Amino acid sequence: MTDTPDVTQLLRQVSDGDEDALARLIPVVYRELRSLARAQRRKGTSDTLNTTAIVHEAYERLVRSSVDYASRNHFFHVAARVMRGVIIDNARKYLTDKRGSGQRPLPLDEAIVVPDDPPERLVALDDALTELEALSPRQAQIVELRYFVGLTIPETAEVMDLSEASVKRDWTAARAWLHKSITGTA
Amino acid sequence: MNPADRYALIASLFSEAAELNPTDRERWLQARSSDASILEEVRQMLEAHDQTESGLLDHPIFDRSATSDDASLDDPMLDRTIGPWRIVGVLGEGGMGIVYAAERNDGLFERTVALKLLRPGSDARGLARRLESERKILGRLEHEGIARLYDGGVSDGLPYLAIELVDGDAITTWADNNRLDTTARVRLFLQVCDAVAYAHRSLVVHRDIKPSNIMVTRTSNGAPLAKLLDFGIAKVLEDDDASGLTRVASGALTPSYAAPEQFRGEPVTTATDVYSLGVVLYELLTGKRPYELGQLTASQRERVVEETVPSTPEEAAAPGRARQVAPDLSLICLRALAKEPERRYASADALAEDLRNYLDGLPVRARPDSVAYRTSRFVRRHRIAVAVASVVLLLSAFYAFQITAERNRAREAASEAREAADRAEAVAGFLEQILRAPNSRWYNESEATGPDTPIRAVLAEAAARVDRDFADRPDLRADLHHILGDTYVSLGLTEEARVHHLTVIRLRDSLYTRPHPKIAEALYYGGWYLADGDYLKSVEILETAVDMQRQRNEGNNFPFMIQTLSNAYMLFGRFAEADSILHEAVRFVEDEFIPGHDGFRYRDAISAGLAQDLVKANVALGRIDEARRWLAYSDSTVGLLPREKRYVMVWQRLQCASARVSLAELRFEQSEREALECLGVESSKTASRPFPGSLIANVEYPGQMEEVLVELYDAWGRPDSADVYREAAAAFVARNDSLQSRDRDRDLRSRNRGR
Repeated sequence: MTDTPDVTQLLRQVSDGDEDALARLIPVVYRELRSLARAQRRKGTSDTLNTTAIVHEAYERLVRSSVDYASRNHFFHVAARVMRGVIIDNARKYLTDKRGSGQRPLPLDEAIVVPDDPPERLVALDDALTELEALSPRQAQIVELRYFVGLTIPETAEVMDLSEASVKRDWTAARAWLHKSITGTA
Repeated sequence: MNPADRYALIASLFSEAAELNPTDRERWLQARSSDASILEEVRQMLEAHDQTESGLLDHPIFDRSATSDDASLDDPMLDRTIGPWRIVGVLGEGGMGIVYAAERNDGLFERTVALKLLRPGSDARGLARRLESERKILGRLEHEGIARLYDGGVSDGLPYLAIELVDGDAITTWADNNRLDTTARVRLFLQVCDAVAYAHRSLVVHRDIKPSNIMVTRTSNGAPLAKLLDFGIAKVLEDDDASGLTRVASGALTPSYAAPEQFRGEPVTTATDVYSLGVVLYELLTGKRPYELGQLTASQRERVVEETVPSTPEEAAAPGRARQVAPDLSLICLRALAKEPERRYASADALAEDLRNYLDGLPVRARPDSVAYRTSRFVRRHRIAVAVASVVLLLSAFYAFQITAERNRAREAASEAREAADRAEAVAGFLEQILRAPNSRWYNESEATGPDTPIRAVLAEAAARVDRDFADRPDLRADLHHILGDTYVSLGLTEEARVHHLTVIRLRDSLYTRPHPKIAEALYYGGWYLADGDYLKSVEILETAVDMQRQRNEGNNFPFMIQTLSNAYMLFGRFAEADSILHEAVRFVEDEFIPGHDGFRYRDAISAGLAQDLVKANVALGRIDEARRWLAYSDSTVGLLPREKRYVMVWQRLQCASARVSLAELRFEQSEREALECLGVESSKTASRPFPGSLIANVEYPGQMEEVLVELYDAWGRPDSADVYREAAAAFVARNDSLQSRDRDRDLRSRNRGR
């Protein structure tokens, strides 16, 4: 991985609001998460993923020296984004392919696990989450970390540096709002 | 309203309504908003919220609980043996490594621990150093409020720590789950303070105090017990920090709980932990944090923490909520959160102390920007001229007090108000001139000639100016001469004081008619000079002053005058008279002084001292039961005093009084022990709250100790031991300032002995 940019440095730039750094960081995190997911799939008997472990491990591997808390927060944010992107892309592709060929597609990549949730619902959730992002970026991030990375409330509080009480409050509200939006438009 | 604000309102209405009973929600919502579209959206969210079987977002997309068995099976560490421990599960994963649950493997006894390991393959050198540092630190800490270290070492090249497994919840979560009220929250938090204070006494600063590092569990009898975890970035204060731990720590800090100095990368002290404790307390009390930093960039966070002032907890606790935060509690919290470390409580102990004051309904010491604080800031700013300035400040402090007193009185009469204003203005002008003098004349000299010269020079300058500048104001002239005389005495320059004190008496006698408190004060301070070497006459003058004060009592001098007079009586063996007037003084203090006045335990310190003199008098009169009653009185009063340096002497005098009673009962060994405890032995049984040795070591103990020891060893038949203290005891009497003059006291003493 000699061509890997300095993730620590990129994270610092991201945490100070550098959009370019974010664009360079995402593919790095994506490659790492994918290779870890592959490794986990090869090794395990399960047909699901321990996403939390993967993200933690990616962090350990990519961020060699200690970074400040804001950077760590951004790493998890980026990782959650990547997870969401991969899963939702796959769901959308499935829906498109289904319409086209009427066949359930095989995952293109052995790293990708098909979630239990029906793809229609995942896509609806993704749309609602994008809407929520415009209203409350914080609530949207909490949903990403909880749902796509699988962090618990205390872990989310830790990563986002929020109190558990506010994470719980935001999470409950976000979930109710997303649910309302999805069922309302369905 | 923009969409984000609108949504924020909807979300907050939803959150509060969701906590209500479903039947009450509609009425509550109607009262809160009249916007139909907003209310409709909240209603829909509540409806979605109530559908328990919605299935949406109930689990993470890849459910960890469904995979955890597999994941554990995958984990290469499972079932491995590390030292005497066998890994049985994964507890958590963090930045530093993995924490496993592990059981004892050698069959010696059953115990499950949290086994902290570095993640295999990670760049381990720095982390291994941190693990080693944590092991060393935990090794020196043993406290029920700190998760204890069971074992630590290196196994197959893997460093590990086995730490007490605390099965509980973070303190904030625990408090919410158990619906603790404010008082119960404060009590729980006090346990944390005690654990942190213990660490501080062991010279360990935690540096990462936050709710997730404070787990609450229940003891076997059901009581809650808070335990402090994770000393991973803690620091031993005496270390020179060659290990570079500070740098690691500044990266690992948790912004919401980190003190401003941690952001700046400045050295941490116990006050740094006090700040973090303040954030935890804030969160416990209000459910919020002083600053919401979650979404900010690193530099924004730093600016917010450094520059903005948080809402007081009193305001932050949502109005109408069940939990409210009292103003005193709010002040305590803000004091702990002060941006400058020196304005916070110096240690977790001091914070705990004030919280206990709050719980006991006593006045708290947290008060924003006290006069003392402002004065200390002033002195710090003018460090160069501090020797000069201190004298001037002494003068101005006195006049600030006088001006306040005048102002109060001025409310009663307009003419007096004008008078007070004139007076304040005149004094302010005088002070200004003295204050400016060092800038021109003595500034250079003071560096050249050392710190003592300017003080005397300022006093001499003031003395020279007083009569000239206030030629037409004899009342002010007298007041200023009084300050000058008193300042000279406190500098030990008793002869220089003479002319000023005599001038005060002369001026006031011509200004006022006896009996008058101003004359009483003048006689109290200047009587010795007036008696001019005649001891009996000086006692008579003191009696006149006390009597005058008794007839027209104003100000706070009375108990001090009585204490001085009673000491004189006792030197002459007139114990019954001493007993009688001391009674009067204790009654006076109890009736007239405000308890805990102004945040200081002024009244308690004074009445404790008077009671100690009563012990002495009654022992001499052979009334041991009475002496014992006064000892108990003094003991309980001393128990109220904060463990601060300025009160150490009161506690030491209590020890001496106690030693006197024991001596009277011929319990020599106990008496000796009690007296010697003045020197800083901590195991006092006398005072309900002994002062820590670290404080005592810095205070000059009272000469009474030597006095008692001489009497004790003489009575015990150990004259050699008595001789050790005899000289020092004489020196004590000589330096006893209660009669203001060394010479008089020494002579009084010898005259008394000669009888």
